[in-house]
Amino acid sequence: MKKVLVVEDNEKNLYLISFILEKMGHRVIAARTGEEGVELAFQEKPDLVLMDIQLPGINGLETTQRIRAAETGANVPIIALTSYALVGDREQVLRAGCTGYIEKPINPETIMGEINKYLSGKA
Amino acid sequence: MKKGSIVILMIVFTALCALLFVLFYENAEKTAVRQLLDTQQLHAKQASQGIEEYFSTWTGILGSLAKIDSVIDVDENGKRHMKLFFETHRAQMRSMTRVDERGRIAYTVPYSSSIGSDISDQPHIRTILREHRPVVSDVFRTVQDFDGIALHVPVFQGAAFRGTIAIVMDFDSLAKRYLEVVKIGKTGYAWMVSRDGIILFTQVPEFVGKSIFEVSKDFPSMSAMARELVQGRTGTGVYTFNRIYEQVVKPVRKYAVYMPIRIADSYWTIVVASAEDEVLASLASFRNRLIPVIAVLFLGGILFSLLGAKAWFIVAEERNRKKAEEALRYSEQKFMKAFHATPDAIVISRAADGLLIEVNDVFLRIAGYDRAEIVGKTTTGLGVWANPADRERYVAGIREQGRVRDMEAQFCSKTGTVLDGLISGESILLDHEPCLLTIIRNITERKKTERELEQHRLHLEEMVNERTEELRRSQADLRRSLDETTAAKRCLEEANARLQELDRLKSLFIASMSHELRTPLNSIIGFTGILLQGLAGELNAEQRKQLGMVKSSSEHLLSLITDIIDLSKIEAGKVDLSLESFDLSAMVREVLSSFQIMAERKALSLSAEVPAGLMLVSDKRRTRQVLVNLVGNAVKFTEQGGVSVAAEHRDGVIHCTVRDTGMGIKPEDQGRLFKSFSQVTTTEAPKHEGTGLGLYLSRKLITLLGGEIGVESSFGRGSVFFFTIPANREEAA
Repeated sequence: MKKVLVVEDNEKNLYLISFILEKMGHRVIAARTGEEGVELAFQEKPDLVLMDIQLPGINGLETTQRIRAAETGANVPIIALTSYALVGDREQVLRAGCTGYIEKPINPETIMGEINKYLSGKA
Repeated sequence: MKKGSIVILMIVFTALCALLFVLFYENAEKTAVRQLLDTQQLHAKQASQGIEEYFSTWTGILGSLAKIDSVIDVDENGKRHMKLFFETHRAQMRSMTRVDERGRIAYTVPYSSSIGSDISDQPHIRTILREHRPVVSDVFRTVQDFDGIALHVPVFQGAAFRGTIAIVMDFDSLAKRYLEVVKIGKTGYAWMVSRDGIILFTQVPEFVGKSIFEVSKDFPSMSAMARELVQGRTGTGVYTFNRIYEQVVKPVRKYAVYMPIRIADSYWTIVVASAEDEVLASLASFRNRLIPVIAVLFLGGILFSLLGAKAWFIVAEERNRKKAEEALRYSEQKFMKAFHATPDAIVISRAADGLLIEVNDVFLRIAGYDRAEIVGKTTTGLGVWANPADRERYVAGIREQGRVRDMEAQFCSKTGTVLDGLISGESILLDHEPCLLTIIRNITERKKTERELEQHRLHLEEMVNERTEELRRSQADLRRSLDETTAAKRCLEEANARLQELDRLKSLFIASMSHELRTPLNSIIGFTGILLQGLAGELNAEQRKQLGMVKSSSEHLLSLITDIIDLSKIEAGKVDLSLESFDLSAMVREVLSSFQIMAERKALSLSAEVPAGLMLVSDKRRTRQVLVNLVGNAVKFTEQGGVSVAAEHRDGVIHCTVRDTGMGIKPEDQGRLFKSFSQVTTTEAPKHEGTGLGLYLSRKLITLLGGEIGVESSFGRGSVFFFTIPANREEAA
């Protein structure tokens, strides 16, 4: 069982991702703002962070940079959840310090494999 | 060129002649020395051979005597034999002796008193007793007071040594015979040393019997040679030694040759030497002949060079003179030409009284005089100056500054016409007399024009004043209407700003709306997926079918929203291309396979004709979007037959076609096809699900990628959609 921090402001999406992660047998820590995400990342030291980009207050990119700035957050895999239509998002999220990204809408058939891939450190 | 060159020439000649002299003289000296050494060598060789022969002859004779039995036994017969032999050869020997094998004198003639004495302690006797070979003694002074030298030959009876048979020779007679005869020039003579370095013979009697090393100890060059010659070597040498001549002692350089004389078991060395004077003396006459020859050569060379240089100077001077004359003539011609050709009047006059010396034709023409009329006249005398004060001003200007430039003055012609002139001048020297060179430009016409112009100007000013007043009135009118225009313009600007603001708000609205629209859709699609996957529990078939419809509708809605966002971005010009290299053939295969299920449902064939590995650099996602749109449309609107995609690379451009066997498009509809929200509808065809934005967006995308898009179709027979894009967007951009 792994500890996964999900930073997502939309309750329904948060529930959707949490549902899938719990089905996979992982423990979910939920953060609804970037600030909360940074705090929980340092406090809980999760094995993986799933990061929505469009957040109220500080956005996902800045949240990622803040987590990366500290020693405890320097190595945790951070996966961005990005919208398919936004060109250039990919480069942007990688530059901000994300390990990878998963495009929305979430496809339950493929997302499990991708999460496992990042958790095992193979990506 | 002159004095310096001659001095250099003389130095060069002197050096050349001196060099010539030295070379000739040195060569002659070398030859003379070589000749001297050759002569000395010849003498030394003769003496050496003579002495060697002398000793070898006597060794042979004594050897013969030593074989006579009576001589071996020294019996009476033998003694008589030896006595007889001595008597016969008395002139060449001083005594004859028979020594027994123990070194005692067994018999001797003529000094018979010595018989029985033991001489075995003498060095040469010791040698022959030990080695049984012929030996020669050192030169020694005998009791009979002469310098003798003994030659002993061994006597054998069978193989047994029985002592020696010997003769004693007078060394002086030997020396006289072979050495004293050696005379070269006035100073050349021979001397001889033994192998121990004892001087056996020389011209200075007190040196005889002394060691050569002792004698030459103050003369290193001679010592060096002595070391060579006591080793029995042959060679030549130069050494310095004192010569005593009429009580004057003077060191002299000598040229010498030396070679060994081999006698019996030892050798002596003969040296033949001559003083350097000998050589120099022989050279003196040569030198005396050479000097005049060189002197004549020297003087001749100098004389020749001087004459040559003088001739050259004369020619050069003549040439320079001609050149100067030519230059003077040329400059005179130039001056005269200018003097007469210039459009200005030129006057040369004496500074003191203004007497005219020379005027040019222009002056005569303007002033109206003949040349004859002005001879001996002055400018004031002719009345050329209209105002005499002008002349004073001019002359004063020249006196003070040396020249005058462009001074205005008036002149009178012969007929009394007043002319305006612009006068320039300066003082020059002509035949050592100060003169004035005056140039007068006729500006009468110009002055007249100026005066007329001034009249015009005054008139113009009046007219301008009138006009200005009129303008002032109409300007007031204009200002009023301008104010009205400005107000209208401001209204327009405000409207424009409002429009721009509206446009910005529209883009902002679309961007934020799209996010807001997508977020719930994303969760609808996500949850539908979870349910369909059975993650939340098992579903029955009807539920699964209906949920599938929810999912497909949601995805359609999402693509619709995505298209709208894309369009609004393109229209707002906010699109960034993301260029990368990719394989078009792979992309076509992948797109076709995504429509495989839909095609199979309608029994349509899907085919591709794209060369494997057709690479291009462009925006991959947007290229794919266009392909998906075109193939999707083709599959959607075709009921039987199939869809085929072809692509190829021609001259840096990718040409791609999507061909279908659908219902086709009427010509009148083809124009509308790429406009927004247009879906061609017919009564026959079913209404198709679609945004109506696909082709419009595709056209926008292809334009963005730098290509073109179009269609060829005939109604009822299918359509061919084609597009082009640059194979490398980076280079094309």
